[in-house]
Amino acid sequence: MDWLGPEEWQAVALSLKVSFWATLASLPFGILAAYALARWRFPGRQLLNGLVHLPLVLPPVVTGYLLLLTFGTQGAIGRALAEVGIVFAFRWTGAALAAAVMAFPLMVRAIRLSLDAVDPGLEEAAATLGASRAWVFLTVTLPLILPGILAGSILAFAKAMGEFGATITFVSNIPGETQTLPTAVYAFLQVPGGEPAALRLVIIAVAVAMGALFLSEWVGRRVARRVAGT
Amino acid sequence: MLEIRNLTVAIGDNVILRDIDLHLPEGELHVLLGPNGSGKSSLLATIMGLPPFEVVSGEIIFAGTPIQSLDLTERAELGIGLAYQRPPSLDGVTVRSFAAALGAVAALETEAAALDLTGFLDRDMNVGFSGGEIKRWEVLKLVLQDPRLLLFDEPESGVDLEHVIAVGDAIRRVVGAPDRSGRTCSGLVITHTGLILSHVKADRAHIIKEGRLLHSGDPHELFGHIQTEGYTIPAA
Ligand SMILES: Nc1ncnc2c1ncn2[C@@H]1O[C@H](COP(=O)(O)OP(=O)(O)O)[C@@H](O)[C@H]1O
Ligand SMILES: [Mg+2]
Repeated sequence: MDWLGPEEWQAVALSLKVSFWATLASLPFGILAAYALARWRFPGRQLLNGLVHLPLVLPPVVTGYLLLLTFGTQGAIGRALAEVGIVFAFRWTGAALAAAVMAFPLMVRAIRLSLDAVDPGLEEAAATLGASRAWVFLTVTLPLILPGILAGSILAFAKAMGEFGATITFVSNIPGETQTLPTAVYAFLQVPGGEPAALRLVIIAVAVAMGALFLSEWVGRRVARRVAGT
Repeated sequence: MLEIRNLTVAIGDNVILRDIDLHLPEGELHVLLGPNGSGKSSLLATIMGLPPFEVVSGEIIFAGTPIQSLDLTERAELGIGLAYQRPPSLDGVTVRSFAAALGAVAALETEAAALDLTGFLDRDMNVGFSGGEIKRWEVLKLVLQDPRLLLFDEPESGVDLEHVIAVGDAIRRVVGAPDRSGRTCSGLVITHTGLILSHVKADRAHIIKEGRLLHSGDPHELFGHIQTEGYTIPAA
C-alpha cells in the first residue's frame, strides 16, 4: 500500500479496527434489542424502539456530545468505567463506541426484519418437542435470522467506517488514536496541499461503502429466496 | 392421567371452548368427534400449551400436576406430545437428522417401515410430501418422540385406506403400552372420518360441538349415531 502515505494508511487501518470492534461488540446487543422489539410485549417497548432509532434522526454532533456527557472523563458512566480501567474519551475505543451507537439502528432494523420473517410456528413446534427457550433460539431462530444478522453487520460496519460527526465530537481527531478515515479526510482538507491525500482516502471510502452495500444486498436477496422457499 | 375440569378457553376475547369436562384414564384411548370448527384442534392445542389459546377458567391436570400455567417445553418434558393437524415443513432438516435430534435413531428404521416411510428418511421433513405422507410422518414423529400422552389431530385425514391401517396400527401399538421409561401411554385422537375407529381400540368417544362437550359414550355406538343423526345427543 505504498501509494498511501503513513498517516493515511494509519487512518484507514484505524477505521477498519474501529469499525470491526464497533460491529462485533454491538452485535449481541443488536440481536437482543431486535428480539425484544420483535417478540416481547413489555412496558417501555416504544421507548426502547425510540432510543434505538434516536441516533438515526439526531444530528450526529448531538449524539457525540451526549456520549461525551455520559462516557467522557467527567460523565457519570465514564467516571465509573474509568475506575475499572475502561476509558473511552479521546481513545480509539471511544471512536468505536460512537461508531457503534450511530450504526446500531441499521443493525437492529436488519435483524428485526429477518426475525419478523421467521414463522413462530417453527419455534413452537420445537418447544412441543421439549426444546427449551434458549435451545429453540440457538437451533431454530438463530440459523433462520443468520442472513439478517450478516446483512445488518455489514451495513453497520459500512456505517461505522463513515461515521464522522459523533466521533469528532466525542473523541476529537487525534492521528494514530482517534483519526479515522472520514476525520482524516476532513483534516487533510484543512491544510494546503492536502487534497491528493484526501482524494485517495475518498476513493477508499467509496469502495468500502459500495462493497458493503453490494454484499448486504446479496445477503438480503438470499434471505428473500429462503423465506419464499418455505 | 388427564383430567380436564370446567375448562374455558379463549383467543383474546373470543371464547373458543366452554366448560369442557373430560377424563382420560391411564392407558385408555379416547376419540374426539365433532363438526369443522367445533374446537377439537383448539382443545388439543390447549392441552399442549400452544398459543394463541388462553385458559380463561378451569383446570387441566396431567398425571396429578395442574399444567395450565406451564409453558410448552415444560409440558413436553412432562410427557405430552402432539401430532399436528398441519405440521410445518422444515427445509434443510432431514427426517433422519430430526430423529437423531429426538434421540430416536434406534427406533427410526423399524417404525418408519411400519408406516411405509422407509424411502423418506433422507428427505427434508415434509418438503414436497403429499398430504397423506405428511400425516404418516407426523404420526411417526410422535411415536419417536415417545410421550406419555399422545395427542393426534386428525391422523388419518387425507391418508389412503391402505395406510390408514398402518396409522391405526401405530397408534394401537403405542397407546396402552409402556413408553421407553415404562409408563403406560394414553391417547386422545381427533377423527373426522371415523375411519380410524376400525383400526384402533378406542375406549370412549366425546362429541364436541360449538366449543362444548356435548356427549360422551361408546365410540362405535356414537359414531353410528352421528352417521345417521349428525352431531346430536343420542336418545337414552
Ligand atoms: N389461531 C386461531 N386464531 C383465530 N381463531 C382460531 C384459531 N384457531 C382456531 N380458531 C377458531 O376456533 C374455532 C375452533 O377451531 P378448531 O379448534 O380448529 O376446530 P376443529 O379442529 O374442531 O375443526 C374455529 O372457529 C376457528 O376459526
Ligand atoms: Mg381441527
